[in-house]
Amino acid sequence: MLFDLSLTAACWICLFGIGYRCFRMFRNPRWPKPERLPAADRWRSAVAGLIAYTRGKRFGALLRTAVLDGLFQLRIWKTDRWGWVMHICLFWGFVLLLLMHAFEDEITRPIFPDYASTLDPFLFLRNAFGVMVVIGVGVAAGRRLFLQGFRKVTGIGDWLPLALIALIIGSGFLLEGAKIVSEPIFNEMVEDYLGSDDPEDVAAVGAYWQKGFGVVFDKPADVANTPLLEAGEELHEESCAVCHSRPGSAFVSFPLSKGLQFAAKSLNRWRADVWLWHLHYLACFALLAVAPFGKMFHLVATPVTLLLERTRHLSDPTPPSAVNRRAAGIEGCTHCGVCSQHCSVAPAWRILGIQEILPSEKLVSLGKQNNARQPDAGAVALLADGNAVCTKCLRCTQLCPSGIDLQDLWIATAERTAAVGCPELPVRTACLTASQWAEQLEEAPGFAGQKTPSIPKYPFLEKPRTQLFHCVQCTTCTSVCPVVAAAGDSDIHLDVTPQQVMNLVRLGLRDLALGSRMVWDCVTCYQCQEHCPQGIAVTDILYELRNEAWSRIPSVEVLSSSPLPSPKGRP
Amino acid sequence: MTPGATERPFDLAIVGAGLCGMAAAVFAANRGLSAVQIGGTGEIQFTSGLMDLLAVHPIETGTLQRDPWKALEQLASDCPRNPLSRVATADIRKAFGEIFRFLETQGLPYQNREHHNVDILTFAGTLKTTYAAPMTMWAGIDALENRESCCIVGLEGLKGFSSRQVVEHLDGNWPGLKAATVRFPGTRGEVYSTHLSTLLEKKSTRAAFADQIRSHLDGARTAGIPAIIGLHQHKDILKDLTVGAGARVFEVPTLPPSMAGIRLRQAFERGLDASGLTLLYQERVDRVERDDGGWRLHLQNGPAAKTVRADALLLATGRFLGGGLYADRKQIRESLMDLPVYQPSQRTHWHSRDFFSPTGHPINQAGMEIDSAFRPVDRTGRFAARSLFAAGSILAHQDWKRMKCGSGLAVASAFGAVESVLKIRRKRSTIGGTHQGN
Repeated sequence: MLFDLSLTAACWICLFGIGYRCFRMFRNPRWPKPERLPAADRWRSAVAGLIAYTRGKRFGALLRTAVLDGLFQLRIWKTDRWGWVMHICLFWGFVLLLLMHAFEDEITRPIFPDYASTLDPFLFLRNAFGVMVVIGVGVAAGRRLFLQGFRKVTGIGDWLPLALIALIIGSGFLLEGAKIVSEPIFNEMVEDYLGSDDPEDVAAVGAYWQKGFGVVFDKPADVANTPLLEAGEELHEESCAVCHSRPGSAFVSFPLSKGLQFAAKSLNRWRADVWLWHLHYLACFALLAVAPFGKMFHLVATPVTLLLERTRHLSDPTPPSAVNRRAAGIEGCTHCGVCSQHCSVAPAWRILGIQEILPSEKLVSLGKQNNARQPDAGAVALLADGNAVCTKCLRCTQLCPSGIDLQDLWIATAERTAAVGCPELPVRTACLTASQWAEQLEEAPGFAGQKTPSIPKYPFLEKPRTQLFHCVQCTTCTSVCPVVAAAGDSDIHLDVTPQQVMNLVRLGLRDLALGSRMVWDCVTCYQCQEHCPQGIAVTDILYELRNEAWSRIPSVEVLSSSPLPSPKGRP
Repeated sequence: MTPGATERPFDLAIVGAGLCGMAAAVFAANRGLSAVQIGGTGEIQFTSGLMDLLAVHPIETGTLQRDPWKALEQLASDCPRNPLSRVATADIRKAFGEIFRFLETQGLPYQNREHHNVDILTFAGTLKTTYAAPMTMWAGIDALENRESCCIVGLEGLKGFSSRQVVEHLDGNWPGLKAATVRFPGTRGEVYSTHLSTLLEKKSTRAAFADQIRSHLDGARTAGIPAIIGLHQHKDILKDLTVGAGARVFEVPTLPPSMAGIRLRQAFERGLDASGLTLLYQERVDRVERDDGGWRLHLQNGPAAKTVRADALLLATGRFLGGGLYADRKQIRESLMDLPVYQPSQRTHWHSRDFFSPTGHPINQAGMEIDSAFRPVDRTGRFAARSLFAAGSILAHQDWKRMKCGSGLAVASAFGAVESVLKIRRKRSTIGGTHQGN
């Protein structure tokens, strides 16, 4: 009864969840680009799109996606070999268990009329598929625990599905092990399937089963009695063997049951097999129920995004089709972290600590902003700053195993953050001149007051000022600077020139340089450093000043036309 | 890349990328030596572009010498320890000829009046006596000599060049001299000579600039502009300006960093690059070790380390600004190998009481002492190593600023050192080619 109730509940919750996620996908988006489109148009476009995939080029793409990305997970193979191992094992292990074991009545028995769950090859396969899932979960957990940096961006949404799957498989193996040693189940089976009531026959079969099939009896049978065993074997061949292969095929559960033997009598008394059975199916239904609400929704969304990616060149770039595509992308993220693993600017995250630099976290933040009713100014500022570091190099987009068009999202996000008055920091600094910034910074906390990470932040700025005594103010650095050349009037456009910045640092007046355009417009071409006759690291010092300004300027409250939000959680 | 590390060592390693190092590299290349030159960007780009041979001797009287060659002969007998006295005058002439030919091939022709020093007007309105000047400055030398009508054209926003100051400072010494200031076409605010030289490469800019000069000439037949002509299209730029302005345009030597110095460096780098020498610029030598009769130099440029092996080593590392000598609170040291440095016995004797003392200060004559083969020696006259040489401003017993012999010192000593390297190689090969440790 509990089984039926919980299954029904889980199905309804799951359907509701899928409906909710779809509703969210088809709701008017707020981020990265707000749109107001009638929902009917969006749905119509989506349905028309789906129908379009049933013929022509799109149908071919559908088949290719189903085979290459569905069956063989080719896209993951191309980006991350361990990820492929993990996902193939998890995916195929679970799917095959689902089809063969969970749906044994609906699928397996109709195809294989002789099916019995304890019969080979099904007995062996069920364990094998379970092992596949264990491997998958193991690699997934190991990846998140041991790959550098992954632990920091892994959250409950990532651990819960893994925990549930591990619980399902674990309880499954334990269940099978408990059933193997179970005397009550033996008795039930004998009652139903042994052709005789004769206690001698039961004893014979019992002895045979204790010896060869791992049952643990409260009163153990005499397995040294050879004639008894032979009689049991005969009965076994008659009544049991048709459904029971040798239990060694259950190459995980059978050894596990041997391990349980020390406690088997207690387990049998308390009907551990029943409890484990409840645990097992409840865990399955729990996964079913929570799946649509978290990253497991990718089971629905990722085939869509993968298909869209394959037919990128055939896509209609106008709304509502484009809006649908973007929405599918935001909803289809599996938080696998491959994008962040390979992000070109991930090292900047290690130093600055702003999570929104990493593509996976940026997407999470984008999703939150899209679903939030009230905009969160602090989160928007962090999103703007993180996105500003992004170089739009396209690597994350090419590697995304779900085929999401990330680059499109980043570009749209940059436009949007600028439009809501929160452009990237170099643009925000332009609202004041260098001297005005210097005044503001006087009151703002210096970077010495902040937590410094173990990596030295400013190795060149922290060198003794006597190093800069070698600067003879010859203006060679300024003469070769292409930014100075392009600036026209350096007084107005750059505030200070490179050799003036060196002098300011030498005089201990760094604050005057932090807000200068020179520091922000430097393209780090390294001409100045290469040409300096005194070997001063001009570019490196300019770049460190920029980093220092990055960490100090946002803490300043500025009364200007575009007020700076003070971001929460900035390290 | 560790040149010479696994292959044959170089014949010669030159440490220093100033005029002396560059000259030594030219001589080495022309004489078929395999050489590697290691140096920084070099103080060479601070130079005005003028090449002094010898203009003042003796220092005590400050006598201006009109004939540098006669002056050199006189110097050789008066000051035998001066490095210039170690090279025969005829050889100095040959050496300069070689350098001038090299620069001419690189599109940077120099001119000189064979037997005479010349006077040239500088950015400060002073008259400087020198030997050779870039072709672009020569019309100014003629104009000064003949006191022709001339307009000095300054540029708005260019620091360190005031045409008005030039005229005022001459104080009637050149009656036909006028001053004007123009805004260089296409600029606003501060300007820098390197950027201007790039702008001049466009014909339209040249035409506009020439027009501005013309409008301020007021009848002058010559016009002096700051040295802003770059290395490319050198001659064409001057010709276009001259034709466009309707007057003979010439460059006036400027404060460092001067375009004339930068293009001199570029000319050397280009020519040496084409000569097949190994050039390691923007590198510093960390330390030097003996290596089986030769030398092993360790270079450290950031995280990358290189090793260079050579049979002979020439130190052309410069004086205090260049980094060849280092003065702490107690004494002067030679920065690379801590070789003995000739210097006043006490720190308090370094300077005279009079800052502008015409005889100079004792520290100016400090430096490395050498023997006739340009090898550094200690107080007893013993050379440090058979294959170790030194040349240029690092040497003792000269005061190149007051003697106005900077380029002469650099080129002549480079010549002397390279000739010695050759001589040693010839001796070695006649003995049997074995490297004797020393």
